Amino acid sequence: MYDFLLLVHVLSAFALVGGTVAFWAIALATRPRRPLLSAATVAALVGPTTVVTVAGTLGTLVFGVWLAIYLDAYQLWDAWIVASLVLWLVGTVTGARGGKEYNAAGTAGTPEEVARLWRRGNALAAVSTVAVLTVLVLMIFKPGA
Amino acid sequence: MSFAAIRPDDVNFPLLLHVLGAMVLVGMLFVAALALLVAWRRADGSTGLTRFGFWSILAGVLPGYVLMRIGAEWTASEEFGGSDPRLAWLDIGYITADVGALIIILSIVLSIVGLRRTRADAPGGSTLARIVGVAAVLLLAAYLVAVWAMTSKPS
Repeated sequence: MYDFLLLVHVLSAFALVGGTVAFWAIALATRPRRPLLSAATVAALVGPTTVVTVAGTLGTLVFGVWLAIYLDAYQLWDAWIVASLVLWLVGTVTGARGGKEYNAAGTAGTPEEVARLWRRGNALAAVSTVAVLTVLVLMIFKPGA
Repeated sequence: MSFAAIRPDDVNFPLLLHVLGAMVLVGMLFVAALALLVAWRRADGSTGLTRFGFWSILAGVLPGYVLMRIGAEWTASEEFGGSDPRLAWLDIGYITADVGALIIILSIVLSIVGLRRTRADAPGGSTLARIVGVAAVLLLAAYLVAVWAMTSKPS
């Protein structure tokens, strides 16, 4: 059971961080000054990438909590697990908000408005990425465990 | 009820580099495969998607692989010293990494040629994109097996 939970938890983490990396690549390819991708082609990439990232987001939480309950060595109220849960929430909320800003940039009217929304999307995505990577650090170092 | 595997603290930082590199590698392979396969299905060829797929291989997959591989060697040296522990899961990791390196090098060469062809509107760019797209899917499947081996650690 432990092997299965760990495998699905780690695969979910790969989906979450891999999806985040993929979104950064897409964001860079849609920069307003020199876009490599058009709005029509971006939609074909964003859909599947969103599915992978959301699956990873939910999977890390569900199987991570399950692992913490299953293992005697860890408790849900351990400081590094509580910090991870808070950062997971921060990463999820800011990531979702960043996605909405990117979507709005895709339908905005003026180039200035597109650039402003794209930059705001990048700022929110950066906060989300830092939160997710900090969770990864906590998962590996397990401070206090 | 179970016990978690305990590892020495010295292993944590190299392991972080290894896992982070592997995640970057998988993320960039995913988006490259997606772009190249979507371009394949579109009748107009979607030059932008094809170029994006090639660039993802060049700018993302290679750095991810290098970080993953350096982290792997460092982790193994911290955990096992210079000795060969003869573990099946470690062998699976090395095999997927080494065979993967050959496919990645091939994909990089094809991506460079493909980028030049799409820039010059020369024929053959879409064929190269299809080959690189299929290679990226195969690599993703191989790395899925590697993740299973690294976490389940079959003896």
